[in-house]
Amino acid sequence: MTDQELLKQLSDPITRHSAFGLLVSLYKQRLYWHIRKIVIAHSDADDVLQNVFIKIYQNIEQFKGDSQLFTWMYKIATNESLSFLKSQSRRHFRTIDNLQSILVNNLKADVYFEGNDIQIKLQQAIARLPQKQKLIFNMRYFDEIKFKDMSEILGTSEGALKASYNIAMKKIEKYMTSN
Amino acid sequence: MRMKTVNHIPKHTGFKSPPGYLENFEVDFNREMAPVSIKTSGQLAIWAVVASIVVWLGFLTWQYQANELDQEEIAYYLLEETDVDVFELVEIYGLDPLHDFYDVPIQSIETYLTEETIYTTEFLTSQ
Repeated sequence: MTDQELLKQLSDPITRHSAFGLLVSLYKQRLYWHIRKIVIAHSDADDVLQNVFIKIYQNIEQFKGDSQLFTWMYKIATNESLSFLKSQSRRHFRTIDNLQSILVNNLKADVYFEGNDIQIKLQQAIARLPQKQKLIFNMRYFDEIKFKDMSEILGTSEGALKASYNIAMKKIEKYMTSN
Repeated sequence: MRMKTVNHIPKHTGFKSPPGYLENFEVDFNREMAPVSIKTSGQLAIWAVVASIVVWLGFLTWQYQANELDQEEIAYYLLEETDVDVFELVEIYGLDPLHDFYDVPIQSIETYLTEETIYTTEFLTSQ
């Protein structure tokens, strides 16, 4: 089913519920892993994912179709994840970067983390990046999202994204080889 | 172990989800969300009705207690603190208020009053 067909069904009150079920099953995995990489802990990712789908359901009529459905949902997921981190960091009197570093440092004890030492080190390197570079690196390196689509999600030009990705990559390489 | 480039690292974050979490996400999501929407609208209506009933009952109880208090206070005041006696009240209001207030048959009141006072049966029955 194409995005257009799905959107048509979502706009019809009779087919809306079943179409939304289909949308959830189509995008839950990608959105979950995207959110998980930002908020780190599974329970937080679960909360954020649910909020994301609620927001998608509530705002689907405002989606004009001038971008791809998945980039629009990624944008909601990104904003919702960052808002979540912001509220958490305020609650713990920390910066978002600081909070993410703490979460990454606790990964070894996380039952929902099965990575080895190298993967922990990579997460620590990512946690040291500025917030936007983190997002760009995660989206490109792990999710292999095209810079064109990323440009729609993050509202940044493709050139700037490519430059940021290269800088992020160099920083990570440096961290991985020097530590 | 030292890494030369990140390309040597498998493109897996190391994160995992609980078993069955993603497979059952829709079921859990629907279960959690559906009652919420029904709850919020349905419960609001129920609580509104319950609240109005409680307020209304509270008002009625308060009014009933106030009336009872008034009656007791007035009766006490008239009998104990003034010169007006029960017979004068009978003269003014008749026997019905006494009957209502003390919940005794009118016949008993008449009998008591005629035997114990100067009031005659004619006077009482004319009230």
